[in-house]
Amino acid sequence: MTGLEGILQRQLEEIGQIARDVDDPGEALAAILRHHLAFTLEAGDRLAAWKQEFRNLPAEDAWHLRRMQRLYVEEWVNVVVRMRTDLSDGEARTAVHAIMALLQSAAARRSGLPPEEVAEVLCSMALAALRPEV
Amino acid sequence: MPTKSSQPPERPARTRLRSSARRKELIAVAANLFASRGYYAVTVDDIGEAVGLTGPALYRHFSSKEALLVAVFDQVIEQLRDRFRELVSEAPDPATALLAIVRLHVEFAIEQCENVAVWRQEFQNLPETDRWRLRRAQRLYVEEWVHLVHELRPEFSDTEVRAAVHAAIGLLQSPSDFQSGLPTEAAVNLLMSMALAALEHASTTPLERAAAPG
Repeated sequence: MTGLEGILQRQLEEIGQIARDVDDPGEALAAILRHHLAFTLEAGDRLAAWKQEFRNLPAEDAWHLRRMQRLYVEEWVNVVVRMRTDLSDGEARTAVHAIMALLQSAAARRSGLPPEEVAEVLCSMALAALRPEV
Repeated sequence: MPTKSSQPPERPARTRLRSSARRKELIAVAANLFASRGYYAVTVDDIGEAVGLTGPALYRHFSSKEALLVAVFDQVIEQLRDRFRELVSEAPDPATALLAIVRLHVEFAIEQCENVAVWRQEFQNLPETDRWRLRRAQRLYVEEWVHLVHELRPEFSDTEVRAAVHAAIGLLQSPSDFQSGLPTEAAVNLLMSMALAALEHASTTPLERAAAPG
């Protein structure tokens, strides 16, 4: 098992736990977001190294990790479709990928804002982006 | 311009012109081929063939496929910046301008998704001078965004706006990482509304404190 696999496995379990325990989809989404953000903050510069590692993995390992990544995304999709009944499954999945890209932006580019404040900005943006339209 | 007596003999002007037109043509063709088939699948011969040049003749203009890729990056980002400035100058107010550039960026990300993905993959491997020049162009593009969004969210500090802009651009660029299979217009509309809501409601106040009942 690669280091990356262990990390993904843990993330997957913890997010699954939230999805099972928190009934209200809005609350579940906020909790999942916070969890994901805390993880990216804690990982910091190691994220880039993992991404690189992922690219260079043998096909079989990459296939395995991609499956976990899929399941991870699908936990989010499941919460989003409950909250946003106006979205099709495909739209919800697109939205989740967009939110993940939004959350990862801080790892890719330095704004100069302290990490904790970046987390607040990102969290508020992600929740607003997924909020049902009124 | 000072004239030097020992100047190397210059090529006749017409050849230079033709050569620069050829360069432009090659960049345009490479950009299309890279975007439609992917950088890795396209060979130098494919590009040559599309403009009626043999491989060796093409190498007179570009020393490698990588050099062509850099030229494509330069062009793509320059066009994006030009279009950005046009849209902003045409817009009657900042809110309308934001709507236009959000659309510009998501359409760019969908149209150029292959090239954006290659950028992500290959950027670190490019020659340093190219990296610096491209980074500079990228920075200036992001600052155009920061400048506009700051006008709409004046209560934010410069760094807060920049963090929000990076996030919005990341969101709008997500189609380059994930092909959703949605019809383009549906994806564009969805991502646009997400980015606009995100930028409008970006906040630095922790949710726990900002949360209001109902």
